[in-house]
Amino acid sequence: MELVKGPTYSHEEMLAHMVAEYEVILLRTCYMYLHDKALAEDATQETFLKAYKALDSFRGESSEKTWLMRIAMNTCRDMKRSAWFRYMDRSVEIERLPLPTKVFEFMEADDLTQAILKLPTKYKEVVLLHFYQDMTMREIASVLDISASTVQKRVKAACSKLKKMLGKEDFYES
Amino acid sequence: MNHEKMREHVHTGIDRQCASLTSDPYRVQRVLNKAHETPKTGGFVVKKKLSVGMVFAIVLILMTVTAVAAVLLSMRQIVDDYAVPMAQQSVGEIDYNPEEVSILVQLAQENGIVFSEHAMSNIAWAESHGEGYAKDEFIKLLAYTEFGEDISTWTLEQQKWFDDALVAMGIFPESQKAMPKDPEGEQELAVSRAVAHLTANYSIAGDIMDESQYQVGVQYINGDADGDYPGLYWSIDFQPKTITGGEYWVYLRDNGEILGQSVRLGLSADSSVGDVRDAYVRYYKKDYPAHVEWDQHVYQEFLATAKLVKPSNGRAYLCIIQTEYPDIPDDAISFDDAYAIAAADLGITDYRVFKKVLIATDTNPVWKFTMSRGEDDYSFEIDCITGEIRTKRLLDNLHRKWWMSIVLWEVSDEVDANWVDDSPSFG
Repeated sequence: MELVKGPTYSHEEMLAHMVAEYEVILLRTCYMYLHDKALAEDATQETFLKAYKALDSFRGESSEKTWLMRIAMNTCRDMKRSAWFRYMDRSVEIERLPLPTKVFEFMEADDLTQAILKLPTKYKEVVLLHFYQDMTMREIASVLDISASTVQKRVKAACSKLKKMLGKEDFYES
Repeated sequence: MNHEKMREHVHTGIDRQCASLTSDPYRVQRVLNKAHETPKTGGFVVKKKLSVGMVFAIVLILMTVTAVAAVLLSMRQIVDDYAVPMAQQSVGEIDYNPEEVSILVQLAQENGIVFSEHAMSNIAWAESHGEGYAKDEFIKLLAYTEFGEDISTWTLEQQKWFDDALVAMGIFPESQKAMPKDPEGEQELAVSRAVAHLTANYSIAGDIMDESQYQVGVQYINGDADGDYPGLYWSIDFQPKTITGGEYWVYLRDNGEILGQSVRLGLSADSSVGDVRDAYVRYYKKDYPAHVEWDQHVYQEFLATAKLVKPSNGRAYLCIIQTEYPDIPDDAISFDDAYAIAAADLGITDYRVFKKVLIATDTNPVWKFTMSRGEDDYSFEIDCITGEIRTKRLLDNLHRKWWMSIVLWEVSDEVDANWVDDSPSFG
């Protein structure tokens, strides 16, 4: 649920709302992008900081989620490009994150997650935004500033790569 | 599998594996603390008093934005529809004036375009000095927010778009970038041909197709505008992300004809210590302008690598292998204290210092650095525990070799005294 920006809400309240609504999904998206827990925390923190600083300028012409995701994607891209990123020990593989106590049966989902991590960045972005953030093609186009048709092509290409990596005949066809 | 199932698998997989990545109860407070540490650099736009005419212009632009936008304006729309037309109104002027910069920054921020702290700092500096901002530089800052600050990573389409914007603004007479008919398909083919050419003809350090080892840069160039070769051609380059990687450039036509290449081999045991130094300078160039500005840990890494090359009779090698860079002792005097000691010895209060490193000796390590007095440069080696000046030397042209600033003078003097130049002479 979005908070309609209005005179009754302070910036601190709006920040608290955004954090409550989007923190976890943003943090996990950043992890999948950067493949590093510490960087994902930094990227999430940086995203909310930038959003908070720019709240005066947010006029509600798009959804706040789209607005926030644009900031997050650009932040992740910047981090990935920074020299510092090269030094990070990215050997904190997903397997080393502690598992929850409940055991799921969706081994397919685990393989799929691993495969998504290995995708080239431009495909990983659209997969995360479309299937994890549940964004429409148009919203994704707005976040990444590419055309909707390019988004579609990349989703298709990404799924094709995932199908190949997983060796599954009955994989998703976009 | 249908969309819903795919979505469910993705959610389940990611949420399961990322179960330990959860909300932080202190997140909001940390953001607020950080926000209040630094001034809101975006605020300068609001604080500035604008002329009446500029206020009307801003209102007009913002009304248009409100009327048109159901979604955010993209960075490109801001450039194409506002920044470029604004620049065209003053062709011949290099800069946007301060008010124009204010409008564009505000427009960007309203649409979720966030400049880097570094960019905002530069813009704020210009504004505080009553200066405008170079048009092409400002467009570049906008482009950076989305494309990244490393132009070599921009897509062909991004490069073309940026080039066209500069042409529209009157900065270039003709676009230097072109677009192939099928950008993604043809690019992939061009890259694979470049890789094939390199692997067939050169010993490649590492795997040039491994994203963690090399950054691939691709350009499709209109050589007739400003290129090394006439007509349309591809420029494919591979930049190392590791210290040991090489640097490779290949130029080729659409049909695969190789026009040329440029290769800098990566580090190996056959490299010289000078090659190692160059590799470290390149690798750290973003953080340190030159090797002489490195921190102690970088010197330690450099030394460890340099000692792996095969032995040679070169003076640099002979000096480097006798050198150690220790960790800085807890009881060491600071750099500033060491500089003050040297400055007092020279009788100066204003000084410029460069080339600093801590070098091990038989007793206490010494801070080694160079200090200028007028036109003269003095090299000091100061005991890092006692502050005693162990060596002080006025530098002449014979003693400005790069390795001499990072090894003990007693070592380089001894090497020089015993060195026999066995390099081939050409008569």
